[in-house]
Amino acid sequence: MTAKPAEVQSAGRIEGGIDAIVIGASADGLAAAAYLGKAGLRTLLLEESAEIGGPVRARDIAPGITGIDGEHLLRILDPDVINELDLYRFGVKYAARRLDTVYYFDDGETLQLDGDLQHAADLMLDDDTRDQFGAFMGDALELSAFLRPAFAPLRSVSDENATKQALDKALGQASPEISALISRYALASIEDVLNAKFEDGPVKTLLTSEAAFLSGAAPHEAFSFMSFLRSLAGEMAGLQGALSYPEGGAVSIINALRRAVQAAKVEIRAAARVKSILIEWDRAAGVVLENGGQVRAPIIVNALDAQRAFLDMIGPDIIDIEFQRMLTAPRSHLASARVQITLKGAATNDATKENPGRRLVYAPPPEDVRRAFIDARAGRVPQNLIVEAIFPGALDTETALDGDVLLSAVAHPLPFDEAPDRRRRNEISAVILAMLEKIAPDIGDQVDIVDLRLPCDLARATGASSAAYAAKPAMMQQWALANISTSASDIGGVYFCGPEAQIGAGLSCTAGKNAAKAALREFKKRGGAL
Amino acid sequence: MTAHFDFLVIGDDEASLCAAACAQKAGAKVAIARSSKSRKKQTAGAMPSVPNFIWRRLDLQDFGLTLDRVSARVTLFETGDPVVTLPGVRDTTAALADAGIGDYTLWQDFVADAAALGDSEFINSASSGAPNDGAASLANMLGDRSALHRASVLSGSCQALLDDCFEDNRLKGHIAAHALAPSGLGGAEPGSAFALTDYFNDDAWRVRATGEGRSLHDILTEVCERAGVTIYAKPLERVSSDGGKFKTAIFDDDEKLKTRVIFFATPDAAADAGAGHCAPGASIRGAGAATATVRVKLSEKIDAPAHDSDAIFQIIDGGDDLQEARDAAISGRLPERLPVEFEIAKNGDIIARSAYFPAVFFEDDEWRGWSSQDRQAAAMHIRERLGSRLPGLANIILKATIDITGAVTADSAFSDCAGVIVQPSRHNAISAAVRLIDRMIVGDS
Amino acid sequence: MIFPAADIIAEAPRPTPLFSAAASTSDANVWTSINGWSVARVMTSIESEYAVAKAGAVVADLGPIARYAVRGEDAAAFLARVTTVPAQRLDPGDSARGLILDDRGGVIDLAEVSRLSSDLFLLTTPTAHARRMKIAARGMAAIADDITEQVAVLGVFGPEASEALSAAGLKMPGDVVAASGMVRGVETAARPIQFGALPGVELIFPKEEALTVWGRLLRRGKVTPIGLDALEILRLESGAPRPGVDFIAADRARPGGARTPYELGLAHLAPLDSGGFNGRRGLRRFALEPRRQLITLSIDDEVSMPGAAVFAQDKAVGRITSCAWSPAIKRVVAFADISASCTAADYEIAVSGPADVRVAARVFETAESALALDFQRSQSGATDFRL
Repeated sequence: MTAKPAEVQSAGRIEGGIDAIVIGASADGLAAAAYLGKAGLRTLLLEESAEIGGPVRARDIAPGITGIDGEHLLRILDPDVINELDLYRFGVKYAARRLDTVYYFDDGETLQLDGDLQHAADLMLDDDTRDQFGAFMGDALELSAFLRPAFAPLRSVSDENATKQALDKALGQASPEISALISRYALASIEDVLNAKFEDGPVKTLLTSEAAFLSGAAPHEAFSFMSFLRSLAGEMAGLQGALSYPEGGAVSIINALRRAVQAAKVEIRAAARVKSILIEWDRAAGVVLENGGQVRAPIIVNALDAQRAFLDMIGPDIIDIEFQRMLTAPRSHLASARVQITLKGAATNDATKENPGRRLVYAPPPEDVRRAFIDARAGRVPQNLIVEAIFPGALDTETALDGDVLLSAVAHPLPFDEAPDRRRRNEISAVILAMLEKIAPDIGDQVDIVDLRLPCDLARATGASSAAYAAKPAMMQQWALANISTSASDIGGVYFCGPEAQIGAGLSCTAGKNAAKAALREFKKRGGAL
Repeated sequence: MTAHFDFLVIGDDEASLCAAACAQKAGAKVAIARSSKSRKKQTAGAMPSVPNFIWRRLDLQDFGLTLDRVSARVTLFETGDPVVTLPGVRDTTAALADAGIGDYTLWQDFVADAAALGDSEFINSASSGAPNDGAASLANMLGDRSALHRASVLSGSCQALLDDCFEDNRLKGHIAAHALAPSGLGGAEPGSAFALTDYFNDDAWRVRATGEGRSLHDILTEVCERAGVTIYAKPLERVSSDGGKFKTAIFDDDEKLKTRVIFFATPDAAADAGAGHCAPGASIRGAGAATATVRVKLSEKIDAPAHDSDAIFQIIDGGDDLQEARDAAISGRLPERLPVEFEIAKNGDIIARSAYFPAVFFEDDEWRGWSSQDRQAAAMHIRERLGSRLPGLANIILKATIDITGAVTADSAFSDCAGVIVQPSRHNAISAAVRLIDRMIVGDS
Repeated sequence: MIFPAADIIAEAPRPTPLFSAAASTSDANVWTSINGWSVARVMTSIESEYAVAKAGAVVADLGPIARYAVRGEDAAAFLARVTTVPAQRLDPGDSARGLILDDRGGVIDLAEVSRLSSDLFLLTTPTAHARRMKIAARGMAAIADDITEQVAVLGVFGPEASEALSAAGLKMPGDVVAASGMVRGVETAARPIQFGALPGVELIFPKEEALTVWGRLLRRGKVTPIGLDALEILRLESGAPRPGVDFIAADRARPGGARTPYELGLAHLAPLDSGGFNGRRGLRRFALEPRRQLITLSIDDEVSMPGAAVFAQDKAVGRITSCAWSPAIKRVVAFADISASCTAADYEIAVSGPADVRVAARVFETAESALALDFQRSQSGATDFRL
């Protein structure tokens, strides 16, 4: 950490000579800062906590055992960001790419799928299922690749016509077949689509769970299929819809971004809490820090959540009423949980021993998945969850522990709580452990430490509101929220790349890239010295 | 020589007849297949109004048809006074003010907002199931901030929309009950806001026959006949497709016809014919649930709640009932606090219905269909709910009959859904069906 | 303050607190519905009411117009957000006119703000905006209470309005500054208003006192009740556009149907260089290239129908939105919504009838258009804040 403490530098004084300020050193904030710095802007990155990375950070979960918060697998990291910021040079390395997945079912059966979804069907049991699955995946991948431009935050430019033209260009060449698929799938639920395509059986079960897990959307509810398509639109290591594990875990992406930021000569200032954004004549003029200091700059890129970025830092008297209404329209929330578990000794059962370097998913029967979403939405902890587990030490041997084994799992769906009590947390941990038993029977006997992270924990670490880390809402709402929040109520010089700007769950950096690029375009147009 | 048609409309309700007559008059070749069940001669309950544009196209003025608007929408809660809304915005505002509902000043803006929200081209066209240019309309919507906002509100839950507008829980419960109960949706479900905005369409206000003159159903049948629609009044055995432009429909006496499109004017008609699974976006319409209609004959006239025997009544205990009932229905259970809608027919019968029954039951880890005990239990359940709001009802019941639609049947004539169009559940099925078939005729030519 | 368009469907309009008094004075008995309230269109005759308004003092029932009492620490900031009135700069007693704009700079409604005391404002708008007020107050320490139903409101205006009020014993500082206080034991608020060029005072008091105050004004103040139709002539002469008639509220308009202050000739009510009102950024982005313009015309005819086509150099350029016979200039005065590219001073209006007859019309300067022109001149010399 090269950051200097903020107090010494800025208490009670006004700083100038800066072109751009980025608020919040999350992955998106870092990416935005790197883009701006690389383009030659004198850029200052302000982070209120002592550490960078937003919710993605390394943390000691037990003495001597480091866990990594945030994402545990990468699926939608923006390939442009990797290339344009040269992240491979700054240390991004995949320990495992195209992770194969093993699905565990309620009846004890398992099914393994190739990490390359185009070829996943090859492992299918019989010809009919293979053809069905192949055709379905082919359609889904084609459609999601086609929709990729629509899954990026839409407007970091305040020019509505330009956005419209870009979208028309991207989606306008749709073949009649693609267009018909879009009409058919736009409002469809995952269940609708799967019921029309598949008989009951393991393939339908795994697809139901996978679609619900990747998208975070209840499979029986409208619009959920579109969310699933979004989760397939990513491209990891050059392969659409694939999953990767980076060496050192997701935090290594943060570290690479930090190096890119430093190489771009961006000043990172930690423990610098922004109180408000200065708006003069409806343009960004700088920020006021909590300690009373002011930093002036014509470009502000905000990577904090929308509530703080607009309502707290800019205020209702500046933003438009319509913007505020759209931004704060109530949404119902669900949550995912991340759990890191240390096991005493290596896992002993066959399934896990055979598949340590794979992604392990427990896929409950479709009706249990449906019931789980119903329970979670009603605020109850479901009895069944979809659980995805990996053994980081097996994927990346560098990080393997001596003796103990670390298991990292994500469970979905869970009720969204602002402040869950100890009982609630225990209840959640217990259900997750029960689900892990389906993957690795008797794992309970080996469990040592269970470290549970819920949206409120991430929010506490980053100072954001918990809702910012809830599971993503229905696709149409994500679209609207991203589009609206990135418009920044048309305040000149303010760009937004907080969690609401991202469409789809996972570490992406697209919002940061788009915000920075929009800022650079505007900077050039206004005659910025470049 | 097998007869060839553009549309085969399956169903015998007013919406099917209107759609068939309008399409035939617009130049298409249309056949109607009346469902296997013969229509029972009963006092009709409230039905969707006939929108003016259809009235004009079918020249219904020539038939001396008169329809009365349902007088009010009333919700009967477990405790406290009923909540009443009326056809007029200002009358409703005044009624809400009188009932001590603090949010009454917001009613007018809410109605206007809800109507404006329904104006989402993308969602409307995508939900109709008609062929359309999906990519272009998606691009249009994504590029327009306010259109996108509207679409996002529509794709959200009814509850979120109401929470954003009102504070009074009784008013919120009332609106949700009337907007969602007809299609059996839950208030917290994504997409339920769509049903809410549809309900604020002018045409959504239901009407009732005056009891004089001929019924709308009779008149529409005559209109169809006069227009030249071919009517097949026999059960449909099977529908097959050879992958070409036409599908073949085979009746139980082996008569065949060929048609380009099989058209269902309502999801109920599709469910009746065993084609429920063909509906696109089934989840937005409350699929997975069955509707039970109970007719109760009484030995004497009952006092109408809120002193209004021409209203539509909803029975709920609280605003969360709808979602809980919906959750139960799609999990294959009978809901505990069943939302029930009822009205008092001209002849004094009570017609009660609830769309919150499971299409299939889930019991002992097994899915199973409806049994006669289930029908009894459903009828009992509805009677109990009626009794809770209509004191003394139990003593004057002569007879109750139950009819279930939407229950999953084992075999279906529709193995393949290509060329099958199902109009999603709308508050005005007539208007929606005619608009949809119009759009398909335009799309064809 | 201007009445909005009459309700399209008048569902059993409610009586205002002054209804029975007005009804007993009304010989003509012609009524319409505004915001769901009954309003008299004519009391005795349009001509006589108009004549008294120009020479003496008239009284109108302004009850149907929506009114909000705005309180709270952020009341001024709230009003400066919702309306274009820079409420923070109003001293107690001050009143100002403004507009309510949406985020694209489209006009939703007209507005008048009066500061009654340091923490109490009165907001008057032709139509109610319950939902907008509620949303706008989120995150601000301000409450906008709709008091329309609790109060009775009388507008007294004309050259002798002040004298009439004194004679009736209702003299308040209202013809100079907005104020509230006790008059004869009744809590009353008064504020100066303008109806066209006519000075006037608006009296706001509890609805229970409606008949007493009305009676006193008529008996002692010798004022004449005036109906909506005579007010409509005064409005057209003064050049004030009527919401719902001359323009459609931006939040209810069809696509392309919203109008900006520039297009309505009301740019002076939304000055971009002052205040942080809602929609100012949208106004900068969209409004500087107006597509339509609302102009006032005087037409050389005795009758002219709203909706008639307007021609310039033989090309149809727009339509008449509202009009009335003006006894003062012996012509029809009208608002016309025409293409913004049209800069002619002379127009022709198509007269409905069997033959294609056109009558001459020319642009007509009003009090409002004079203000707009002044504003335009002052702006051309000022710094350009459109960034």
